Amino acid sequence: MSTELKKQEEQVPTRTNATYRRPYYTVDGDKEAYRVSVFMPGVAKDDYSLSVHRDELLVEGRKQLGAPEGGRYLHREITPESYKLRLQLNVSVDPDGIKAVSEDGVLTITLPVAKEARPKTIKIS
Amino acid sequence: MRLIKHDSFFNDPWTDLDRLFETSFPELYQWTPLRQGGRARSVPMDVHETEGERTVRMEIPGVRKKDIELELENSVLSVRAKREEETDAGPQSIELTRSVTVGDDIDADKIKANLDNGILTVVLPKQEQAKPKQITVG
Repeated sequence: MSTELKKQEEQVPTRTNATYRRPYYTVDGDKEAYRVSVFMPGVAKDDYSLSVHRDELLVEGRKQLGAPEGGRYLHREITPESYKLRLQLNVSVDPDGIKAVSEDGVLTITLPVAKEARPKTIKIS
Repeated sequence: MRLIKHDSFFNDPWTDLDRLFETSFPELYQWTPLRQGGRARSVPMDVHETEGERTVRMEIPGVRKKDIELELENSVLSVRAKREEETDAGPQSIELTRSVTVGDDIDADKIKANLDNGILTVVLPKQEQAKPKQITVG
């Protein structure tokens, strides 16, 4: 009986980390900087990577879920995949001024708008 | 001005292609029917059981410890969580809720909950009399 059950378990396709999940994100900001919050539950502080190349922002987060020992799952929805988000930026940002903070599974990235891209007020003389 | 250029399939075809493929052939993928990623209000959940306890895990990124309400009533565990999202239209309060029947054999006084990187883990130990007992044949 117990061997039968085990066989069934082995047939379930296991997912590799080669596939990524696109995380949910929000954007807000003002004239000087934009803030992008990327929701990536299960990613620890040291497991994020962030890069800006030309106008592309790439965010990756390696998800690590501790698997419980023994027992069985009664219900499963949480996926083990890591996260990858690629965004095309419409605004030129100052790459040296980019800051990122992670808290409660959310990575908040501050992207300062490059000086030349900020709106200029022109005085009428 | 908008920060992100038109966000579409063409920006990031591979992850979306993956998803398209997985929703087209759900039988190939264990997770597909339950995939809820990329949505604001979904709370994906795992329930795991061992002889001594049941463990409920939920993804609630962006929620602070103080903004979580946990309740066990009539063998139903309810989670109510709130988070603030900054959007272009100003701050928005998002409420996340999820309930699950955890069984009537739980020792309510020994429940422990922990929040780690946006994942809430609730450990519900079973009552002593509910645990399986070994009976030796004399």
